[in-house]
Amino acid sequence: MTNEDAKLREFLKGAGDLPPCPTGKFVNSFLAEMDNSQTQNKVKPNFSGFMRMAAAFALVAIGIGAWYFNDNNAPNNARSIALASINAPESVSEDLVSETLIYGDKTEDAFAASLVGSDDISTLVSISDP
Amino acid sequence: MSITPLIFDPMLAHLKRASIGDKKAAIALVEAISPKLFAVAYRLLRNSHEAEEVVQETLLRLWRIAPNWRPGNAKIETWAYRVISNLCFDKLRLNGRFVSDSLDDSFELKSDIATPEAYFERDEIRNAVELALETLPTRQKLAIIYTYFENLSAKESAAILDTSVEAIESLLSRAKRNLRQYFEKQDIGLLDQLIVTEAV
Repeated sequence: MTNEDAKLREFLKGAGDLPPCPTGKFVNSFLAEMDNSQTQNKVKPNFSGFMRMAAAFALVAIGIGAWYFNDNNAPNNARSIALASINAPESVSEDLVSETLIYGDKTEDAFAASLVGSDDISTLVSISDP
Repeated sequence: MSITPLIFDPMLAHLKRASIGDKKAAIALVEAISPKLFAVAYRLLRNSHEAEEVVQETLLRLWRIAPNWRPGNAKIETWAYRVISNLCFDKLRLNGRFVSDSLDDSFELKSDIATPEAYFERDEIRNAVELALETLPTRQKLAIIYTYFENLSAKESAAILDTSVEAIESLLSRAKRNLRQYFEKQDIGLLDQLIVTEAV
């Protein structure tokens, strides 16, 4: 320390005394902050437990949803076959079509014959008769 | 490869134990550090209420940082001094009382209370010193406080003020010159007790 520093230090001792430090107040505030933090830490595990339960519930819900989704979209399961049979358009084979048409022709002929008979009606009634 | 010697820091021990809920350690920590912080804050702010506020805030921040405090980075005292210095600067700036020190170092009387009338109304020596310190730019004043009131080294003061040792020495040199000029201007007759030698 230089002579100048020593003189300055001595001189600065003349500065006014400090007011008493409210150490007790600082201690109390610090302890209160500690208590507050510890209380929050105690609350945190409960919150974490709640969060874990919620996460587990969400996982279960997602699992159920995924299972249900897969069940409805699987290609070979019974539900999809049943739905396909209801919704699919009815298909008719060619043999059935031809048989129906032949039967229809035959039916028409018989019906026509029952109405008209074997005679041609145009020969009985003159068209040009006033 | 340099080896950093292990130095036992009682404040660090208190802080670590306090961080895991040891109230005795917390009390020991606060009782050890708060008078130092309060002294710095009061000398800088000259207001007990404001000094209390910044000490409370510094202790609160210390508590928050305690669980993550890594030994070896900084001494707790240095960290706390730095925080309280910045909080004091903020308060002074907020109140328009922060006095910046220009590099040209032109010295002017910064305070209206630093008048001979005010001086003679109070105790001669005590107020002469207080009023002289009041006229200093804020960083010069803080350098004086840390060096001459708190007995910290230039290296520690530099760490607190986030500057170099050379800058601290420069601040101190200018502060001493300003104090000497102040007393010359005031013609108070205390110059003989003050620094009569040429400032470094």
